[in-house]
Amino acid sequence: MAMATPKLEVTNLSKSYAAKDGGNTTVLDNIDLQVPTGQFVCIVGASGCGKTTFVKMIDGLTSITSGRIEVDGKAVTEPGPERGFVFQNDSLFPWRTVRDNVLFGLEMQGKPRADSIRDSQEMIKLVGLAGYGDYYPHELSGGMRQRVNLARALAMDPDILMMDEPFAALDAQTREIMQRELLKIWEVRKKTVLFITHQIDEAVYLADRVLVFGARPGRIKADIPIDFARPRSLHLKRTPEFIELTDRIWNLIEEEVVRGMADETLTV
Amino acid sequence: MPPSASIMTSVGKDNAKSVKQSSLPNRTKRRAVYSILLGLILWELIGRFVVTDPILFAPLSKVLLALWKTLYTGEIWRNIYVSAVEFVIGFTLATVIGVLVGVLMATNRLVQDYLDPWVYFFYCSPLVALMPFYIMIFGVALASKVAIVFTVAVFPILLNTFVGIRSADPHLLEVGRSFNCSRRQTFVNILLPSALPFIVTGLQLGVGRGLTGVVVGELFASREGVGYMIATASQSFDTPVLLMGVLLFSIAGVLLMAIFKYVERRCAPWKQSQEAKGE
Repeated sequence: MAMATPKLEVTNLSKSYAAKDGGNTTVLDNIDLQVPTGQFVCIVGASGCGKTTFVKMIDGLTSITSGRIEVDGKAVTEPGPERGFVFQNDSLFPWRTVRDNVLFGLEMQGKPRADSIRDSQEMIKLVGLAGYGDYYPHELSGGMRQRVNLARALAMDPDILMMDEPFAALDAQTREIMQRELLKIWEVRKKTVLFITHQIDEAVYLADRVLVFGARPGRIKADIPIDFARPRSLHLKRTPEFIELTDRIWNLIEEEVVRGMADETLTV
Repeated sequence: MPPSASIMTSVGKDNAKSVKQSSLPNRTKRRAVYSILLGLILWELIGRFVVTDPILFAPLSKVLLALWKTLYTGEIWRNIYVSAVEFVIGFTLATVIGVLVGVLMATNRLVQDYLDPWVYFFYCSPLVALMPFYIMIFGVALASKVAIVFTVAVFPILLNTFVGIRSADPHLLEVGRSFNCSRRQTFVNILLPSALPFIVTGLQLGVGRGLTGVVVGELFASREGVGYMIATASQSFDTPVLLMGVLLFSIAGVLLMAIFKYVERRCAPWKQSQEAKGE
């Protein structure tokens, strides 16, 4: 398949830590990945397969042991405004209001505050929190806090948005609503998205493409295109095609989980 | 830019958890008032009927009468003023130095490693015992009192500043890195706000210790001040004035504590609601 320069290109990427016993623990082994502009990629896999390490490396938060990460052909060495990160939970600044949390990135870049406030207003509206600008995070529900979290990353207008299990702490209903609304935003703002989740149905519902990570060492075990037409409604989740696909992915992960459990029993 | 219309469905206003700072339940407040009144009545009764020797104890009414007399003649204002100046200068110095050194220790490994043992040593020591030494160096006037207030108040402030900066949430620090914060930006926008409630706690501890410093300093050697008033009253067996002095110090402590509680609520409103939620 001929592709224009991908938005994100990962070549031969590995990550290892010095282990306690003096050896090396390989967290990620030889990952290759190309993501075209605007693609929504979900990453699933058993715990400890290095998914979070992988996206943190792309954001520049974690150092690279070997290999290369390029965004628009430029090597990644540190965090940059063209990449935004939505953290798992409660990473809002409790002493800042919703507006000031959303403004954080722009403020750190030294943007004039008057312009930023206009942008933040728009962003707060976009995530459905109009009228909540002056609230503090502790005055909001978990779902609302995650909306602020998303708005804070979007305010920088990044090309690539990385999301590390952003809805993990939400209840099932709020989660479904947030999924639908994330898709609405993505369809308008055309970001390239890397989205980590444990929930396979969430991955299949959101993504153009699901990467299944294998563990010990972490690697891409399967790369599955998801071709359901967009815009997708929540009804999609009840169709047999959807359920069949989720099952297939679950089977891929199950082997890893079972193997991981066996390993743990052996070492214990 | 998209049209500025809301893309995510707006959440209804009523969805927000209203955590308006609810005042203490009325019943609790009422009981507190009853308790204070009962205590004062008990004081009066014990002074009148139980311990009737005027040297050993004085009922509340006599203490209030003594207060009225000194207020009337105006001699008490001078003493309050002198003690207040000693406290304010010593405490301000302790705050400035404590916060500065605390920040230095928390942000510089070398400074931390060298100062750490000393800070713990002094934090645990009953430093008011240094008073005779300070009198020798600084004399009986203002300087020795300022020195003792500073010495006893600075360590809790320093230690709490240090701990506050060190216990900044690593998740928030990671957010800072993700937004490419410089060292200075990280300090001003993440570390300092995280440490603020801890610093206020340090100031609260420092207030109690600092007041003790004033009392001990003035009792030990002085020519004026509320502590001096207590000392002279005890020499002339004037128990009502003596108890009045103690009462004045207590009131000062309660007022200062209330001020810092207010500051704490203002600078860390999220802490209050976490406590309220029992987290």
